[in-house]
Amino acid sequence: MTPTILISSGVNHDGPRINAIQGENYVTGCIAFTELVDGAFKTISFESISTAKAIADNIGGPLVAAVMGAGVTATASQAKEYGADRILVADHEELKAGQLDACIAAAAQLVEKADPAVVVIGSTAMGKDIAARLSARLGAPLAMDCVAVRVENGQVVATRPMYGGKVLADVSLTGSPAIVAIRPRAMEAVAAEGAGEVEAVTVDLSGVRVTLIEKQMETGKIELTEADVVVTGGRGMGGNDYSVVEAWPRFWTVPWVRPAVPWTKAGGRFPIRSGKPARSWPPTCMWPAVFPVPFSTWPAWPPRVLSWPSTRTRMHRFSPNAISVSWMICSRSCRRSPPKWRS
Amino acid sequence: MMRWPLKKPENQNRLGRQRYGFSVGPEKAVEALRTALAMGADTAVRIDPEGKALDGLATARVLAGELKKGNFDLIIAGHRAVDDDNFQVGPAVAEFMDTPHISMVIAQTIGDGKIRCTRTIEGGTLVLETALPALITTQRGLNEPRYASLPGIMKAKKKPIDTRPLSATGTDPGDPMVKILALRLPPERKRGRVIDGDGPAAKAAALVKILREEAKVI
Repeated sequence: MTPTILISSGVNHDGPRINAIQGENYVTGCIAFTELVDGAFKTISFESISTAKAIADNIGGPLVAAVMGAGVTATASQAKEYGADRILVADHEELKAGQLDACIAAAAQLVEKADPAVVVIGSTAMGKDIAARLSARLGAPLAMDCVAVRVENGQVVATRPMYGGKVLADVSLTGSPAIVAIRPRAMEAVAAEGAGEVEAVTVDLSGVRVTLIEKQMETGKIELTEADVVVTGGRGMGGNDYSVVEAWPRFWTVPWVRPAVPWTKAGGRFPIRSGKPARSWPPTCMWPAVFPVPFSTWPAWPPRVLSWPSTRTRMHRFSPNAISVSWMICSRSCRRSPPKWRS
Repeated sequence: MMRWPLKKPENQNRLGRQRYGFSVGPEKAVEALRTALAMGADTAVRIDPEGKALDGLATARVLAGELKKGNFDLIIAGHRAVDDDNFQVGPAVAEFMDTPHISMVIAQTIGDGKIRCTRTIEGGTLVLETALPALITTQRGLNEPRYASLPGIMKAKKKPIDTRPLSATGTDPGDPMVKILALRLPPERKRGRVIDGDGPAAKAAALVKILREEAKVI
């Protein structure tokens, strides 16, 4: 990558087109980074290939998928089902999941090899690290956590949340390659046919300085950003016992999660800013708005003690200390209906 | 770059080094630096951008330029800014300084010229180790930031803040490559729906119908 790169505004060309002139070669095309877990692509991989395809269709040039990991060569060709023209595979023992520093080094070398105008990467824990360091290494603009991307007058324009999701910003990226990190579940993975030539790349990982000591994964649960349906419980649960919420989805056979922080530690509120978006705006069900169990289980379920609002009754019955009494008075006075005026 | 892992007095300053607070920002950044001083930082440095717009990468470049001048063992940054949510400055500073970094750290032990950190990833945690000097970015849960004591606050008010204008730092931040074109409010979240009915059985039936036919989740 030479630093002398020029992006034209697209006026000289038929239609919007990014043309970074590098020496005598036009720099076009996109590279999409994939992420694998236990030897299989994560959903974000296909989302990022599809996003890259949409951009590549607009600006021209090949769509390259980058696959990094240990023992991933067999899986890599799956990227062509989403339209990848070329698949660069960095297969190295050091690149197994969790070796972030090695992945960053490999990613930089893959970008150098593909020489794209746009880099698309999933804004996951690993993706964010790779994107931020790539951006600094290449002196390239970066938009993190994008929920939409478009090409406007030859420039990549990304939509991304700011101020903790309170505002959506459209940001333009000037420079090459433009790095777009997409938020998981924000884009749709669209199946498309691609040539999918698999090409093995030898990466040099001699400069890796961070070593992985241990990896601990929560087993038996689907990761939050991979889940299709999210069921949440909050203060209405009356404590840390989430067994009721956990029991629901078993009937429905859908994945489940619960907040990582128990409500007692989250100041009695559901920890909304966990830093891990499930979707942009997740559909949620809250206990106890509904009664979720097949009739056949009645009357064995649910346990009778779970009458709502359980928090309030329990506090009243067992711990009428100064705080709970004042809370009760406060909540009652707030809930009192406004005075009725007689006409 | 303001969150300091200063927990209990016995855990403070284990490296036995001076603690610096660094910030790139306008006059308003002084408040944050005063808090850092009150919470135990020895010196505070503010780099004044002199009205120049800096994107994440430019901020990182300026910070790295200044940090290179000091011989720091450990650089601690927040894992993201609360305004532009970029997740970029910390790792980018590490890249410019050519040091390793570990982001989103929730626990750390330091000693023997090495730092061992626990970081969060999707659905689990990693324990990573690297040699100092290094940069870590903090995630909620790393520690309980202690309260600034009243004497600390009074002392912090008197301490001078080393203000360095951008032009005097000798670092060229470069032109901003990321520009905000427009800001708008996100689409409003749809209201929750309360299902009415006579008794639990009818409500359940209504719910199952909605889940199957409208939401299509079962």
